[in-house]
Amino acid sequence: MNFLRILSNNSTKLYITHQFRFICWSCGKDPKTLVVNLFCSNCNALQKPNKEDNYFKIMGVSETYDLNENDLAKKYKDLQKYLHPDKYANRVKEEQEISEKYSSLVNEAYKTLLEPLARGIYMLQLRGKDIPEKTEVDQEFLMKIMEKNEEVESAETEEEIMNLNEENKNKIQSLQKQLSTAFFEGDLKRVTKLLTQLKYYTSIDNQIQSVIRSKGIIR
Amino acid sequence: MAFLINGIRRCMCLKGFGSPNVILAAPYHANVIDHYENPRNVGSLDKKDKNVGTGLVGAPACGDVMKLQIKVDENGKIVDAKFKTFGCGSAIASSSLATEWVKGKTVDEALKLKNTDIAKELSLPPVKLHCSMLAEDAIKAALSDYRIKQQTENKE
Repeated sequence: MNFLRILSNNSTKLYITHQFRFICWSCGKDPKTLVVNLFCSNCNALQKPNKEDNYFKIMGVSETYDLNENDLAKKYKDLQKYLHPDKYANRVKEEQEISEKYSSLVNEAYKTLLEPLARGIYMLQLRGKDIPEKTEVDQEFLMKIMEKNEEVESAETEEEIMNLNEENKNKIQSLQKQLSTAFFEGDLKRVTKLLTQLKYYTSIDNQIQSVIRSKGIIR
Repeated sequence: MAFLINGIRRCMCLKGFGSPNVILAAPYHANVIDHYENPRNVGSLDKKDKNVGTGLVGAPACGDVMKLQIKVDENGKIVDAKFKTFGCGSAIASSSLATEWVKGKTVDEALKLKNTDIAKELSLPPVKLHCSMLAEDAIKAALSDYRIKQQTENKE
């Protein structure tokens, strides 16, 4: 039983106390603690994800805008090691289904938290707000965005496009830094403003990357 | 026109955040593809011309920007319209269609153009309705810019 060995090897450091009263769907007992926060300590059945957990909790990372991407990737791989549906081929159907749902939930959570724009929007949504749907009319800002898009469109040489790429990446990075501060200070109005700006610059970044690809520039 | 050649950009709308697959799987309607592949009236008019109205709008949820310009003759008829849009296929098609529709109309008639008409003509799915909304707002902004220009002109 390879599977059990992994569990027992890791169990000492990964045992996490489950705070709620909880009944295992498989054996009907309250396991008190879950092995690696996933399995019943009594019958080893994979448990369903807690519906109240947000993506940060699911991934087991701290809820902050500047999270460590390497750490997140490691957590993701660890989780999928346990959750991947391939590991449940010989289990009962119910457990297979839990693994499928749980594993795709973890994929979704990972994808969302990894990407700085998606992470910001998700964090904003957790705070009950969203990016406004109404049309943007800040002329000065729109003019800037329009001009940048036009520059990307008319860039011909590799040097031109790579300069634009660097400039835009710096802009995105600076916006992310400001976002982190705004989240830290709980200034949601500013968060929303920064996220919409980030959206426009990410859109320009997508343009730039597709130009780079279509020109066959290798970095 | 690099923005037309580089393939249809996916409009990563936040509305369907929980179910991105639904959006990505939605195919474009033939009318959208027609306007996308053969966009009408792409370009710019002279912004400083007193007979030209310019509307510049953006969609914060998508990061799309749209510039729409109209040229009005002395009888208040729109004789030319141009657009430039950086955005997804639906946004490009919506603005292309909008320029086609306002040409030949009077300023007052153009004001009546509704985003629902655009959405209907292009068979836009609900998640793309805001693209037609953007085109309507762009026309309104262009018309209002033209009116303000005329008013200041008359005062002088």
